[in-house]
Amino acid sequence: MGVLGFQVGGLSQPHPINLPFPEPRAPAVPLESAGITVGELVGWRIWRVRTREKLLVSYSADAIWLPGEPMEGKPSDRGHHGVWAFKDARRALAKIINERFWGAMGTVWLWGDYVEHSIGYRAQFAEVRSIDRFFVTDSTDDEASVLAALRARYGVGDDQAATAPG
Amino acid sequence: MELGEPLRRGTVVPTRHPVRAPEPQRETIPSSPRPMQYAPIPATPEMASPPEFMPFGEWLPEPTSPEPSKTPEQVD
Repeated sequence: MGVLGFQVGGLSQPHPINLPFPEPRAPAVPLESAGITVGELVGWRIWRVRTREKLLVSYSADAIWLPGEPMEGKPSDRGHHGVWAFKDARRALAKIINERFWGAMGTVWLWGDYVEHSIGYRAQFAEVRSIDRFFVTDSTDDEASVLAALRARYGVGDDQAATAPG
Repeated sequence: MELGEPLRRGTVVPTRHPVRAPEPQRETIPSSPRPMQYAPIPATPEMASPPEFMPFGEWLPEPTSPEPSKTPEQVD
């Protein structure tokens, strides 16, 4: 190795001035298109809960889910934008347990533009479909009464009620 | 990413929620071109008279009097 790590005759090697910089990334390939689907997707979410106002709040942002109002995002191919949801309940429950998170868990309708991931979705629009569990935040909260109040406020039941025909 | 690798993207047309109307575009292209409108040319008395300037002298007024009868000297 010569001066500053540059070898005479070693032009096939990266110039030492480039060494601190990472290798150039290949251009991002657009995601495969799944086309158009008719009928909303269903995903599982967790929310923080304002128990006094009986409102659901996004887990990772200070965004309140208003009853009857769709939540909106802009899912890009490889970013983090969009309304997140897991494909199954176990992932949502695992997140609550692993992160010692206390709040509500339920399902959402998803529609509009979306990106499908291996275990979840990022969608353009989402609305509360069911509120299935509420994990108490402190000793003054009664799980059953808060869950009932949340369901009444959002006009939903549990996942079974949302799945039932009619 | 917490949701796993992105696989594909698509569009869901909702059946339980209203579809939001797309934002109005700033410029719209009409479906068919509008036909040209021509203003009718009024028929005015001035049109029956010769124009004031005839560069080639080709204006010949209509004969107003019958052709004069031939005189004997003009017999062929």
